[in-house]
Amino acid sequence: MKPRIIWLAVAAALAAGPPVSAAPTEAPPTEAPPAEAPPTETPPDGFEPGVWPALAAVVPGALVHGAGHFVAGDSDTGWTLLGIQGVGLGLVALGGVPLAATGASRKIIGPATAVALTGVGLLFTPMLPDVYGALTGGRDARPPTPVPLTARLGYAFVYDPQFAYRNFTTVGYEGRFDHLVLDGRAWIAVDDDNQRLRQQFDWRLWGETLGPREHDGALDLRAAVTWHRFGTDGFSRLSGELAVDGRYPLDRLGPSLRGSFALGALGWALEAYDYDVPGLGFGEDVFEQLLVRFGWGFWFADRGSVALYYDHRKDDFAGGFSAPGLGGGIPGYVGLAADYAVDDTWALDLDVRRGAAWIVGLGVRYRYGGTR
Amino acid sequence: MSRPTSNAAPRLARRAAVAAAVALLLAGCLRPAEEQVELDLSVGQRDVGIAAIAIAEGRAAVHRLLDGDAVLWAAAPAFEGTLTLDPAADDAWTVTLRNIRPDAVFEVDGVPQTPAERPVPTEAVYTLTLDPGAHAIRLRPAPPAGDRWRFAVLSDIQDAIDRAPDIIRLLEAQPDLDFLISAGDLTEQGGADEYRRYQEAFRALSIPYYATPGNHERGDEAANWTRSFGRANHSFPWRGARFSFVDSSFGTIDPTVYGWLDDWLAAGRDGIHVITTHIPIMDPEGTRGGQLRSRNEAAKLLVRLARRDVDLTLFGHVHSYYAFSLAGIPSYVSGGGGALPERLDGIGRHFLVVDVQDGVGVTAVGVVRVD
Repeated sequence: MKPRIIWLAVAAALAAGPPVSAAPTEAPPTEAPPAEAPPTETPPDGFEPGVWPALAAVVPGALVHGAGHFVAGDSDTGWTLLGIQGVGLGLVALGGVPLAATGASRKIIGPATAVALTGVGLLFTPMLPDVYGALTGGRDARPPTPVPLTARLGYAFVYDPQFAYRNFTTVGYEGRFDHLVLDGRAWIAVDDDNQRLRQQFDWRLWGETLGPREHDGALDLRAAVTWHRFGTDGFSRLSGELAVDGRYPLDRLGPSLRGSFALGALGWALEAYDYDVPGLGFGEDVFEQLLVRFGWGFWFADRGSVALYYDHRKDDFAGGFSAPGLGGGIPGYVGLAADYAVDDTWALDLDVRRGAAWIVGLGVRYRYGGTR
Repeated sequence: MSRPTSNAAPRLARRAAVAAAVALLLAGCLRPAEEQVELDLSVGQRDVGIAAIAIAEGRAAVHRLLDGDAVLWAAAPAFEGTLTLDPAADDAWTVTLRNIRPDAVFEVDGVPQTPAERPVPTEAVYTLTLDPGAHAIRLRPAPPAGDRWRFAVLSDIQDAIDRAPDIIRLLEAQPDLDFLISAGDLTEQGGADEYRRYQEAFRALSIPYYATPGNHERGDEAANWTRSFGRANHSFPWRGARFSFVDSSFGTIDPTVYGWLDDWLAAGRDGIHVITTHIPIMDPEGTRGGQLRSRNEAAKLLVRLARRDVDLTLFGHVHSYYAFSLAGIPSYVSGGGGALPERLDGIGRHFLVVDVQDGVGVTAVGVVRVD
């Protein structure tokens, strides 16, 4: 999917629909607004968002992030976005130069790739909030109020030419406590012998899990265990992971970015395989995996969100993109996650991913004790 | 009133066609190696009207076919096929075989031929008088001597082709090599000129080489590979063993190839079976990710290989040397052909030499350092 097409779809949604909130599938759902909305800065005098600034955010903004805000008259935010791009470029160099110089040496590959990929996220992602701010000038949109307990039920279509499965039932729950968020999900194929169970434990380091708060950001220390069984194909995998996962409300960077947020995660996983082959036992093969995710999204008032993201992991249903031509490594997948609170109690989820496979998931969420 | 209805049907049909095309496009994008499969099936088949060649299982690429002149590139130690001549075709033929073992025997209609010329040990030129009609052609190896044999593995030369003579000299110094196999990235971009240059450089090697492409072979037209080296996915028997080359240059293996692989695995189950791909099924350094694009596909493939008792898997792509195990199968990454090397590993340019004993299996895998 081309980024420009994605953005056009997003821009169309912004222009046509009521404001929305979302996070990638595995990210903690939306957060509670404060009892009273915090005072927000206002854009500078003369700030004129619109179509032309938004176009400038694409050309030349694709290369020079912040261009849309410069054209619209908010140079402070423009410089901030350009600065983030510069930091991203610096991190790409910081991680990429050692990788190139050492031929991706095994001694530095993990940390250097993590730094370089984080840089890639910062290098390319600011274009999206630039378009958003230059087009809308910021929107009074915040996530819906989280509830202590959520139940999920859904359907996912997975097209992977290497596997027979296509249709999955997805179920899950989320429990929120003072600092802890528990998130459990199960994907069960209805047309194949395939099951994926995941339990995630998030310890909130920054931001609130429930109740009033000053901002819509979150930073979690995440531990997760995933068991994925491919019965038809003769193997299963147990993986454990540790990560730092966060969401940053972009109104903290500039008033015109109100209603949007950035996503990011960095972590490490260890996975053990169990092959259904005589003589081989659990843990015959054990591999590490680097976890990196970055993205951007915006909220629809107090009803939900839409987010675009890149995820570097290769053990999900989506796998990773091919790297034809001269590419040296294998990238992960891209995704779009959206959620929409129909009323205080019910919400809808959309999950689209593209890597080695296509995934389209639709779900309904019951929010126990919900008040939007 | 009927007009809207009559317009609606074509409009609906157009929308359905567009939807179908989009669906196909989206699905097709998930099979980047599909084009290579189609190209593979065309290898060894050439019909120029006055003459036609058909090589079974694509085990030779037709470099040239003119009236009275055929040039074949052997992609396996042995092949069989048919050369069919039109009544109007010339009866004086020159058949040139490239990339053959020096002791290989070329037969036409069951009669061994003596080369008129042998420019290099791996190339033979035969002058033949052929009647119109179909002629059975066959390249067969000489009977083996002893029960021990060896082959070498060299991958990832890319832009270091100028330094290949060093490697070739060391390969020549290895005794009793039957052939060289490569896990790809022979060139930087896969251009036709690059392949010609590679083949010219390796004419100095007195043994043939068999290969599968790497991701660097995907920087140009895919057909360049099949025109030059034959199939990207292929398999051949050798002295009771089997060598299978599987194209993983896109980070995935096409579903059609998995069907072929099942046949090869069945054929190779009773003997030694060596599987070679460019991009490793799994990267021993998991945080690097120099492996198949999906770990699910990788694990599924490993189950397939382990259940069929594969003896050895060989990979390139990572410019270093790793000896490890995948689903209990001894596995090696060897990308030491000279492309930007992995540093801090103390390896540098290198190739592998694999020792095999009939009835026993792989007895040793040694590293030969070039620098």
